[in-house]
Amino acid sequence: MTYQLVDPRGVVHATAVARATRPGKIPRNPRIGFLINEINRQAGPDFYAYSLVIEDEMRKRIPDLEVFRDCKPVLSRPADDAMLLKFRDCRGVVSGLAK
Amino acid sequence: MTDIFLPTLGDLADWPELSYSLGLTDGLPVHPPLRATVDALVEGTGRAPTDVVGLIPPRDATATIEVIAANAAMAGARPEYMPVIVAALECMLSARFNLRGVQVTTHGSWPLVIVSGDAVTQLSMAHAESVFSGGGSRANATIGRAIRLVLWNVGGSIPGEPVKEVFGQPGRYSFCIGESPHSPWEPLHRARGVDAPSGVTVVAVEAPHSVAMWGANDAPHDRLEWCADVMRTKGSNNTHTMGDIVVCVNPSEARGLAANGLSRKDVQQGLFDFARRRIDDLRPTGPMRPNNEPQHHYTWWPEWIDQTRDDTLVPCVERPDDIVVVVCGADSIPWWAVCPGWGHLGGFAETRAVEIKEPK
Repeated sequence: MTYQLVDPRGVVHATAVARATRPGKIPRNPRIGFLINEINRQAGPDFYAYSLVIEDEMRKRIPDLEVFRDCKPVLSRPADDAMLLKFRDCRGVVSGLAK
Repeated sequence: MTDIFLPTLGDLADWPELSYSLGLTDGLPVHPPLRATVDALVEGTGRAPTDVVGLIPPRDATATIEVIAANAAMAGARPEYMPVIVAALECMLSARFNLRGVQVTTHGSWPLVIVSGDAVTQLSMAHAESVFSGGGSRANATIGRAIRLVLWNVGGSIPGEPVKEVFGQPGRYSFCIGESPHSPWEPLHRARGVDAPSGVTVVAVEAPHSVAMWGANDAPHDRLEWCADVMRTKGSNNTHTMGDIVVCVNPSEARGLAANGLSRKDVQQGLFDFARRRIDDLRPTGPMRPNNEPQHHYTWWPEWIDQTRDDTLVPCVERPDDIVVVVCGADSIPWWAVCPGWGHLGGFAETRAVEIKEPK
């Protein structure tokens, strides 16, 4: 005797992917910070490059976006207060590893 | 691990290990989705097996009635539960619920299914002792479980990737309660504008936080304040971003409030008035501490919140109606519970009517 089963997983249609809704309001002239975690990699292909991609995507949705970037001198040390104060006017800060 | 699902099984004893190797369960054992069982569950909906209820994020696979029934079979649900399961999924698939976000967020919320009206009695649902842990009711346990399995198997709601929930909560296994038929107020779905004998409301919330009435006197405003103190905690998403929040009142407490002339609306309004915190109590501290300049204002708060003053009292929701008041729990000593919501990003309460068919 065999038992008939029904696959519970459903079918994925590749074109069906949708973005999550974002109900929050976007403020005027938002300032976004990118804190790169190691100064030696600031011009490299890693987080700095990713931050440019993120900036491009954000500018498509927020034309009046302001961007501020800074880098920590050493990856393994936390940012000091003076550096953090530079970001205090930012609506959000994206912080990334150098690699 | 294999992902090849064979439509036949020679020996039912092979099913448990097969279900684990296929990743068809979150760890708890499941029944096999046998064709005959699935067909009976489909019949319980009165709909065609190929009817599409929606795409279940984050995997975005198609949830047909048959696929939902297969997961309900694995959960051990009965056909008469199916209208509740389908209606609950329809609630979650509304755009404003943001089911994708609810599932993958770092926050520990999960869709709570609240059944109200005649269905609670018709389906022998738990609404009293241990209501949040199923109350010993097959209906509560398996409706919540079916929802979980649909989100797991169809939605791909898998911890780590893509689910980033930091702690999780036990309600993810099954999160379904019945509203007490002994409530002094109208059933929840009617209070939310659905004119039907039975309804289901879904809202994404954390596990219940207990509110005992230690030291509270009998005055209604004192008891509301006791609950409000738990609603406005500093670490709550509601306190900072608003959204919806669930407040449970047990029947004896609800009767006490009603005897003092309070309707459900009055309770919502009272909690809205009391569950507030000063703005300067919510701001970050240290070198990043913002001042009262507009660029530091929370954007998820409505315009009428005066964010230029330190002493403004900010409610934990935008409107009294965002406090979902449910009467449930043991009809014994007075007790409340608060289930904080996800916040402004979604998981907002949605309500649908359900029609329960007599079991065969």
